[in-house]
Amino acid sequence: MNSSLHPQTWRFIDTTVAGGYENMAIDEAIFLSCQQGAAPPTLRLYGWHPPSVSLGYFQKMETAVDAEECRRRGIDVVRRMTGGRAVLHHHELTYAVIAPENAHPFSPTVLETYMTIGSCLLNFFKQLGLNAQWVALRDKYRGAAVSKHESASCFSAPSWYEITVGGKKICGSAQKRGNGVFLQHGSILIDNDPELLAALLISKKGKDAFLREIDSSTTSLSRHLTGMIDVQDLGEKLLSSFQKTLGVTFSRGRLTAAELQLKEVLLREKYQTVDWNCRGSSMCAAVV
Amino acid sequence: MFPEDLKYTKNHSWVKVEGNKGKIGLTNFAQEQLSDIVTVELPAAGKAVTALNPFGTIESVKATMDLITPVSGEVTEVNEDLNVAPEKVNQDPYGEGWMITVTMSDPAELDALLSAADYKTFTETEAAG
Repeated sequence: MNSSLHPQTWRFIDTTVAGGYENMAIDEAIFLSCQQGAAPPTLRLYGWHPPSVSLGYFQKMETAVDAEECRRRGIDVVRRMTGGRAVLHHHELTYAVIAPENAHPFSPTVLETYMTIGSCLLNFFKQLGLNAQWVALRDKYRGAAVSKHESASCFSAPSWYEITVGGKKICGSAQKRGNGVFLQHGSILIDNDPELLAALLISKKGKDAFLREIDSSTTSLSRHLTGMIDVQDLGEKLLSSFQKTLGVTFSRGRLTAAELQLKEVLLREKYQTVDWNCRGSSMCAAVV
Repeated sequence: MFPEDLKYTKNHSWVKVEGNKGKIGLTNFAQEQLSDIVTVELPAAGKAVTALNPFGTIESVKATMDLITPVSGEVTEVNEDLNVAPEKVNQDPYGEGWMITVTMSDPAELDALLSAADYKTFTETEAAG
């Protein structure tokens, strides 16, 4: 692990739609497979059905999300292996990049990994004709202010080096690192529903203030593009942007048999369990 | 900052050996990479840990990372201060930011770890990409 690996063919797993538990189990199965050296660097695109709320690894369900309301509306709630705050996954295109920390052309630092993937996303938005920009580093999100997680929603505030359109956040990402491999997944909003988000997530500010905050800080592709948005077409454009920006070749592939098996185990023993999603909170377990 | 009296892993953890015990934490290089640390999740005392496997998880403003133990054994002490002050890992990674103490079950595992000089070289290569 001492320098960038030689350029190699990456695997592209085309857009599939699944529920929250399955999507998170697939991402982790690829991550573990890559740690074992059994998977090539991978770009996976996916959608969500049923819609799901994902919680950051360290968030507590009972303080972040109204689990009863989610259940009433048929929305899954799943805890991610990555950190950060809650995300409502509904009308969006989600990406996951899983690769060794030093896979070409990545440099094995957290920030540079973000910047490299961010460049792929910026180019994607530019390809769509949007004036996307990096969010400048904002000191107010540093240190203690972050740990308080005043708002439960990932999209209620642009964080470090995130991408905005018209000053509003249009995508959010989270990264996990372990044993020399990184996983970064993120949501590109096709459409957003601030009222639904405010109904599902818990905010210390109260629902009305939370709703105003989301509305003023979040945007989506549908607000900037005219006509129907074809998710498959978006996926192809995103793939093309990753290909050009990273300078690597992608080969269309699928999960290996071992990854599928691992996914089933992770689903059964982790992502579908109350223990994982509630982190042992009895109050939470009672409503899930 | 590569204290000479510690042993290191390529996963950016350090161990300070005191008799049959090893005090474990995250390196200065890693905390700088992660930037502001907001949560540290550590195992309970009494838990068995295995060398080069995760013993906990750390979250910064930008990434979550597995914490890897350099040695196997039983967790005997846990730095509970990090529950309320995770920033100590940023401020003092080799001091007040320590994480756990392990009673080592196989001190021979120490031989496979990196010296301060080797770890420094490793991080310089990492930073160079």
